[in-house]
Amino acid sequence: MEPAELEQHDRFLRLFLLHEDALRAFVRSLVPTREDAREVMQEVAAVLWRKFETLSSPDDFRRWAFGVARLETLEYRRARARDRHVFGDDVIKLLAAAADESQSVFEAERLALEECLKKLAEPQRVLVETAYAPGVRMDELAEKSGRTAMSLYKALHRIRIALMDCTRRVLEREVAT
Amino acid sequence: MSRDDDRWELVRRYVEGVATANETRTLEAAVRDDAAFRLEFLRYLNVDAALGGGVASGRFETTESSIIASRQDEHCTVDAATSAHPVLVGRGVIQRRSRAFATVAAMLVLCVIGFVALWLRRDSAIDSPELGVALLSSAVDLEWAEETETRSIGAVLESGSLRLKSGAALVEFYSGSRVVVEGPAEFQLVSANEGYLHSGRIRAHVPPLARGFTVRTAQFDVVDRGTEFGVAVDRDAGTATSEVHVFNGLVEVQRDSVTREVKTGVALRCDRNELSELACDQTAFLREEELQERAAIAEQTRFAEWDAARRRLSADPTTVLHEPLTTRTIEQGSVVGCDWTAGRWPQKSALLFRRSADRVRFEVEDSLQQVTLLSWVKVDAVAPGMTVLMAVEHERVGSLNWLITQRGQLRLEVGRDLGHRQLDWEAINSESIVTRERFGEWLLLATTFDGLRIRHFLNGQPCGSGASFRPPSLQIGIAELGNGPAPAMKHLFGAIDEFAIVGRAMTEAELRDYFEKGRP
Repeated sequence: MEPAELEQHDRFLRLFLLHEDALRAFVRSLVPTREDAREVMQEVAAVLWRKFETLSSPDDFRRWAFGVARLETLEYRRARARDRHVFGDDVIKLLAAAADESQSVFEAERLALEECLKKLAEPQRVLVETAYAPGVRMDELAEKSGRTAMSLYKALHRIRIALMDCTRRVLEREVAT
Repeated sequence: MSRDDDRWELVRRYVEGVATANETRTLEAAVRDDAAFRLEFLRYLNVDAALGGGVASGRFETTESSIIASRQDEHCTVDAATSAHPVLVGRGVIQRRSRAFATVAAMLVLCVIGFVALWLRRDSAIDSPELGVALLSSAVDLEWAEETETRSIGAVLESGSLRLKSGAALVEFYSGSRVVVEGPAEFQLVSANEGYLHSGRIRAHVPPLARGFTVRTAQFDVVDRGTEFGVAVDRDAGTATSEVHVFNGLVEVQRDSVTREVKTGVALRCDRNELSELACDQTAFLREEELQERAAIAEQTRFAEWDAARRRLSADPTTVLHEPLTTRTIEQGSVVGCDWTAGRWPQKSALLFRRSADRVRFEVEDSLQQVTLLSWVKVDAVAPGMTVLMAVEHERVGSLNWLITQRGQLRLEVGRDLGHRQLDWEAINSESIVTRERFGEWLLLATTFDGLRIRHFLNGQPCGSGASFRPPSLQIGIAELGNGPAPAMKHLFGAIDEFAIVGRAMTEAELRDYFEKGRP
């Protein structure tokens, strides 16, 4: 890459990484599975990089990125509407609006997650780390751990709920102090 | 907000991608109508998204490195380029500040899977409880009172009523008690060792370990003390008459807190609250051996019927490939791995698919303009992802993949060129048909494509269709049965009893006929 391009690349990366978690959470809230979210995020990143030059000011990046994410999510849902059970457009609008409104709360909860993860018992924490690792297949994990995939899914579900409750308590505590 | 309510179970299934259309609709309604739930739903997804990002970037890695260093899993395969973060290709690779760490974290985490097994085993496995109480192990001339209540031979029976219009069924309770139910009858399975006869007649054989097997009627309760008895309930003229005949051993008849012992050769009758003793009548109750004999004859007849039908299919000039598996051989392909097992009838065989290596390789060189894919399949479980019925080795425009989705839908994929780098697939799914209730049952699955429309059929009945683009021709080439080359394709976990590829779109009537002639 040429020096000018490298610089552009760096600038893009800085901005993208800054907003990536929020973008991912936004996309996640509008599609059913994590795999769907991953695919959409790849498209979003590709489009953002391709059109980065058109961005006039770094201050506009977040709003622009969310706009692209919204479009890519809609496109993804349209392409899969036939063979996936997806929510209707009206409900998606409600979810997107609610997600928009609560952006800062969700960000705070994401930050609180690190602390809450440490509070998990060892087996649960290890399960999260392995199940969420890139490229891990649940059926392989199930086979190797001697459990059924169903029991792993249910365990992960309970852990997410426990983490939700924990992050709420952390935020309430921070407000109180 | 209670986390135990059904909505959260729906959320779990939704995020795993296994929610049915109904479940998705129910969840959607909850999200739409309950603003508080909507927010909690978003918080849940927020956690899910953050965990994905955090683990991949290594931010959340807390496992002690000392634990990892001491154990190497030799089956650990790691793709160092794997990352949940989007990687942009094209004009340069994004250098990630955290990428090196992410890669190491990913490697460590993946290598630890073997070790993690020890940790995970500490948690008790929570599987869905088995709800069955009995098995429908045999039947003869069986007609169910309602079409919708039809169960197949080999089906697991949950507690509930069996309503037979005519014919006879052999029900094996999990306790070991074996009951012949003769229609017309309504026999309710109460538990693994108890039944309630509302009407009709039954003959029970109770082995020692199932002693205490109880059959209740409106008039009295019969408790077995070993070994064989019959109960009949007659509901003519508004009132019920119950009889119990003891063919071998002893039963206790309990009524109004009075217990009577009834021994071999004696029968008891309760007619309008009057109890009387009679001689026991062996011939009035169908014996299990007789049922099995008649079932075997019926089986032989059905096998012969299918045999004639399958020869006609093989002789059809448009049939490109037909493996009837009448003997333990594949005529036009090679078996890799699969064990042989019994097929729809004892007179024939089937291929068992259990391991990731199991497959049948074959080749169809013909280019087709229309196609019917047809197979008698027994699915024992459906894995997350796609289960393969048939998959091609070389993907080109017009290639066909025939799959079962994790929701139990039949799916046909046709390769098409939309100008992308990789081949695209046009796909049509059926309704959810291979559901848990049908696991272990022989099903006739068929999909036809006439160049315009893809149609799916279960047991000769349409179960979903859709318009498709028209490729210049349909290609199969070298393909596999029950397994596929793509990582997303999971091997079949079940058995295949017959497979055919026909070079035309068979009609619904033809498929229904083939089903009727071939049903076990």
